[in-house]
Amino acid sequence: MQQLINGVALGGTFALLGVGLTLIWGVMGVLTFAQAQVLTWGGFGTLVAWELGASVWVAFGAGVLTGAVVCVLVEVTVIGPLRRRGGSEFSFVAATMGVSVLLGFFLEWRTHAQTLTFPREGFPTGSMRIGALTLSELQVAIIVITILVSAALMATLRWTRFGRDVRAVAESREVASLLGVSPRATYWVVSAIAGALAAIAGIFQGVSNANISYSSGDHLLMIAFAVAVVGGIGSVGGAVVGGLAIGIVQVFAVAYVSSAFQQAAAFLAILIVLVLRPQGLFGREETVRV
Amino acid sequence: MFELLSPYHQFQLSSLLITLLMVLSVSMLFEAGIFSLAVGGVVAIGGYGAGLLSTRSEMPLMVGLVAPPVLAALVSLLLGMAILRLRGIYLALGTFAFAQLVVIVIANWSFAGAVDGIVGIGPGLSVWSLLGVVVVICTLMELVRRSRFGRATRAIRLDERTAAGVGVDARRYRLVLFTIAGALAAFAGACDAHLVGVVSSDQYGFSLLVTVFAFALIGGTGHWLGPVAATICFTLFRQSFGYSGSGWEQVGYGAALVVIMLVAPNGLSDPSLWRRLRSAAGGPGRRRVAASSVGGTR
Amino acid sequence: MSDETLLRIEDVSVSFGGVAALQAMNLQVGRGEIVGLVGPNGAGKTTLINVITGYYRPDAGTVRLGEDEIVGRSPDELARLGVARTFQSLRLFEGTSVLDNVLVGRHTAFRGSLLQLWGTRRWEERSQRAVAMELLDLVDLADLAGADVSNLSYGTRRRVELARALALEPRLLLLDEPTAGMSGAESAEISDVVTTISASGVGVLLIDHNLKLIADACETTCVMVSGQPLVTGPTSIVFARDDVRAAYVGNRRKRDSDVS
Repeated sequence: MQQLINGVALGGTFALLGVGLTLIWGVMGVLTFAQAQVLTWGGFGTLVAWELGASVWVAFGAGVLTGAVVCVLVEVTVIGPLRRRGGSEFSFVAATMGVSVLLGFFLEWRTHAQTLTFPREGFPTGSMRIGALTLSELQVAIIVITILVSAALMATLRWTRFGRDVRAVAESREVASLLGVSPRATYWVVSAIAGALAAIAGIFQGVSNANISYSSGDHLLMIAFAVAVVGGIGSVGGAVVGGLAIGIVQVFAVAYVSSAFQQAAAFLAILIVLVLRPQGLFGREETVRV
Repeated sequence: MFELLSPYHQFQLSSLLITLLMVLSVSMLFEAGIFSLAVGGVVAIGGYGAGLLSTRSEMPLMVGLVAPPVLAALVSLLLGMAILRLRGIYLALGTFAFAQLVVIVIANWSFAGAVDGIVGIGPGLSVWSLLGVVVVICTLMELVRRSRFGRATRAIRLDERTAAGVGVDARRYRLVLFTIAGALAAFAGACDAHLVGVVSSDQYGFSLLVTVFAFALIGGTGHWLGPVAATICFTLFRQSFGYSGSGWEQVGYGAALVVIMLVAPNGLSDPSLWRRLRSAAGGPGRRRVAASSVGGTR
Repeated sequence: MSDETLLRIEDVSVSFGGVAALQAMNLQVGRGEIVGLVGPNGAGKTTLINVITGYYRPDAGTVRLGEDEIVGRSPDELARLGVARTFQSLRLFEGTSVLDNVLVGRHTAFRGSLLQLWGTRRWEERSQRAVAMELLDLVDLADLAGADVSNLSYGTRRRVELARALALEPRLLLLDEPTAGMSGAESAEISDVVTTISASGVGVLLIDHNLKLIADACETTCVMVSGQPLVTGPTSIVFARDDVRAAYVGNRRKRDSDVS
């Protein structure tokens, strides 16, 4: 049971990153390899703000803002133009890989490839006992925030006008614009949200590990893909479920199998889902009309 | 063997040729519209297979160069049967997951030296043999390109459902190509193991993928010469300017990927790109109706 | 004219997500026969062709090509069995030449294997090109053989698709609006080509909105409405019926509806 809680907490980070990825994938049809760096930049945003003397909340906000801005910039400078030039699905993969390399290198250069200490003061660091379980306050914070944010996002998508606009654009860009929805504005907002989510995940990771480096986010990218695939493209709820599931699997894998299996878990999950049920838990089956 | 080149240059040329083989294995899949990110995995099979056979057994060199590609072909065949019906991003993800799994398995397998890898692998093919292999492969690729197999492959990439309607068995073509590409990449990995003398699991990761893909994508899908030219140019550039350390090199590839995707999403050997450039340079009066050279129409 | 039934569609039904696209569809095409298939947009004509060519699997019913049941076979298998089609939405291989588009159609006619890349292949490649050029000649496109299809006019592109379908040397030819976007003269040429082809024993199913073309070329016509056959019979009789005119002809512009 303890492990279950650990898994859920770990999964929260995965879920946040995965939700952002599945949003971009579902609405824009783009699989962006750059999210790992967005996550890392978000973490660095908080770090920099902290070192400039900001309080915890402001630093948190700065990190989230950084993530959102970076993600929107990627959309504006690379993904958007490529879309207008009619890039194939794969050209987006290649281009965002390139962006990821560039973003990572910038951080590597500025930090001289060193791992920096991530501030912990002001973040929840204590632990508490509920019955037989020990929870760190951080874990609770992660779980709570993940649930709140996901719920808010799902509610927005389902019940607000903005949410309908997003779903319309995801369904068909042309039709949506004929109905007066601006696809470009929608892409920007979706990017901002995805970036913010990634940043939150990055900040959590930073606080958990007490450090951050230019490559902090890299191993999380594949897990985010696994989350999106397992949950189904475009499905926020699916990504949350997927993220928590993978988190749990990973924790159990480490506890009962071996730590090597932990790394392999995400990749195995992707392969299994793709072979057996490519549309994931909640995705739609894609049909092609002749 | 007369020494036309110094050992240093031989090494450089061999390295270039090996990279070329990997790039071609990726390119041949692009021709059919298959975006497979599995190259790191099959190259690892080749490298580790050759390394193990060379250091742990008394098998002759040829076995070390043939057996791993055969194994990789088998693995590719099985993988292909499982996931080639997927398209686009799903295929890319599935193959990427596979490649990473291979690397993880290798990194944790103590028989294969776990994280330390294998050292002390003896020398393999000479640079001239490698050159011969590359020439043969390119010749084969050109012959196929001009034949009905080449046409069928391009048709599959352009419009698979229509290609099926005129009798092209897309599934079989894809499977065959995937298997051959796996064998080719593994062969390159085996040669690389012999060339460098050591293999370790961290050389088959993301940076290998980005490098090979950059060359293949920049080269484009119009003609195998594109990726070949891209590889040669970039490698010479890199070697002569002495960019040591993977940082700046990777930045170069990353930037190139982004820029080329924006400017020429189909790579530099895309015929329509050159037509656009020609008509832009030649002015409005010179609009040609001639076809692309994709089909080799004579 | 049909001494032997080539295509037999019996009680075929298909629905997509609860919407019935085809309901108990029945149709026959004999060797050397040209059968017209008309109906308002959305009647299910293209869906029927997709079922015949293996792109869709029917929920019920059988489709027979000669003696063989062909439901469930893949499109490329059916192409090898001699079923060729054109697409209503016109699908050519863009960025490729006219000749190469037709040559892909010759794919199944090549005999050489991969191992004969050099020697025999050159001879075979040449002879297949000659066959392709003959086909282009038939549709009057020989001088555009090297042109990129992406740059050609709509009517010309339709002719390329027809040539590509003919390249399969089919026994059954399914034409989905082959004269859409063509002038009267071009349509008449296509009509001549189709008549010539069928005279050599090929069964043809011809879908088109040009009712004059149908009336001229097809002895038998089936009128489809809402996925079902409304009436099937000799073309002149079918077109004279009131219910046919009401269901279909009535929506068309006056020029098209002038069939008698």
